[in-house]
Amino acid sequence: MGRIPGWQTQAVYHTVAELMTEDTPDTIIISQPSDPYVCLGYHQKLSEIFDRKACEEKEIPILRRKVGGGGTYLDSSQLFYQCVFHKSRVPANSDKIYEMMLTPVVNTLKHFFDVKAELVGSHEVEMNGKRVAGIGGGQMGEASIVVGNILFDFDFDTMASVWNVPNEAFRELAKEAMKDHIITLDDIGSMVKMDKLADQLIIEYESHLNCKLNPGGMTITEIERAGQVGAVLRSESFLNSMDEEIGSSKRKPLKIARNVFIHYEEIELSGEKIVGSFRVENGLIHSVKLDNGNAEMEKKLTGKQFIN
Amino acid sequence: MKKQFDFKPDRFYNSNHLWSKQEDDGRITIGMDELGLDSLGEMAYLSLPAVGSPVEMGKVMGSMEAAKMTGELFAPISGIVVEKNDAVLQNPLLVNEDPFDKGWLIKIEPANWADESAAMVSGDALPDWMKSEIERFETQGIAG
Repeated sequence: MGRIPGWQTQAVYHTVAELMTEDTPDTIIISQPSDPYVCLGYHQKLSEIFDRKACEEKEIPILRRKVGGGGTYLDSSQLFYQCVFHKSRVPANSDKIYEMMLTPVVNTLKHFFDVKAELVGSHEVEMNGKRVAGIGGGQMGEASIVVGNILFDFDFDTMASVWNVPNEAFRELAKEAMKDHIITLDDIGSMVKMDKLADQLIIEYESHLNCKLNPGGMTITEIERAGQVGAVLRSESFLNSMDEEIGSSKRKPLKIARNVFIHYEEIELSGEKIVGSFRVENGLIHSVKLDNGNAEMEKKLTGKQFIN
Repeated sequence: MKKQFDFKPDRFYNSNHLWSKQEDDGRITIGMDELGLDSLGEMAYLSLPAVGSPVEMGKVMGSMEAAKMTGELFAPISGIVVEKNDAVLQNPLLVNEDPFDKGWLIKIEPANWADESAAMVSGDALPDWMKSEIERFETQGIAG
């Protein structure tokens, strides 16, 4: 679909999914948002993820999608691929669905770059051991969906600035972790243009799915419906829909990458209760910023197993 | 080697891989079975109907998310929700860890248990159904 407004990049695949029946062709949408926005995963609480005031000040709209994954910042430096298939034509197992939809992405990266591109932990597309894509999926009506992006560049500063964080130490810790675990095509000196990569992605999908993809646009019905769907995804009622919904009152850790989380927790150490932000990698404390600023204690905690 | 899945013989199962069990007080406990959970992965979020709300067999009653993939939960029977499991809302992984006991989802005061339970699989029909469902999960949507 080329370059389209940010809200449309979400509305289009939701619409195709909503209107899907067994007779509808399986569809892969490739697009690029013309303007930035942030997007919540379906079950996330808005109040825990994004700072509405910061988003308003920066004029960054907030949308909630109906598929999973975490809240993220999206802009024109990212290429989107959105696979909407009838549920009867995809595997029943989610790992196999991801394998079906994401292997062409991995193969596209391998085609252009001399890097170690792989699908890790069933749904993370990694390049040289770092995340190069954000992934989400879901079942919506009769459709099975996998969506993702490829990062040509990533605005770490803006992403970090719109998080709703307990304090600035948490934000810094999260931003550092993001820079350590996310890789972009710019980072590897890529000169490949987005349209060229999109063309190769189509070739790789055709090869992996063993079928010819027919180029096509949206139907009149889909265009009309997409406008309505876009309004729902941006509506106050949908944005706030999960804030009262989930029973858990505890703040969920912020996921940065596979096995990398930022926790804000109270823990007990030698009988003393301490509160702080913890960067946890594979269950171990990589770095910590305590609210009491005790550098000696922070050093002592680094490398220890994180138990909360 | 093929994976083994436990199916408790004291309950009823449907094709969405939810189990239903009638308790001594007549209420029905609902949970997810091992095969369904294996196909989904580790549960990250659950959204369940409020206590007191009506649910209708085959209609959406909640949602879940596992391995970054969302899905709708369809009510296996009709009735009124009388209890929901706060423990799985606090810790959705409990559903994977103990699906037939501590990982239950909701309890329902059934509206039509006799008819609706007859539409599910139970008892002697379970072993063959399990076998065909495992086969379906392994082959659906896979070319070749």
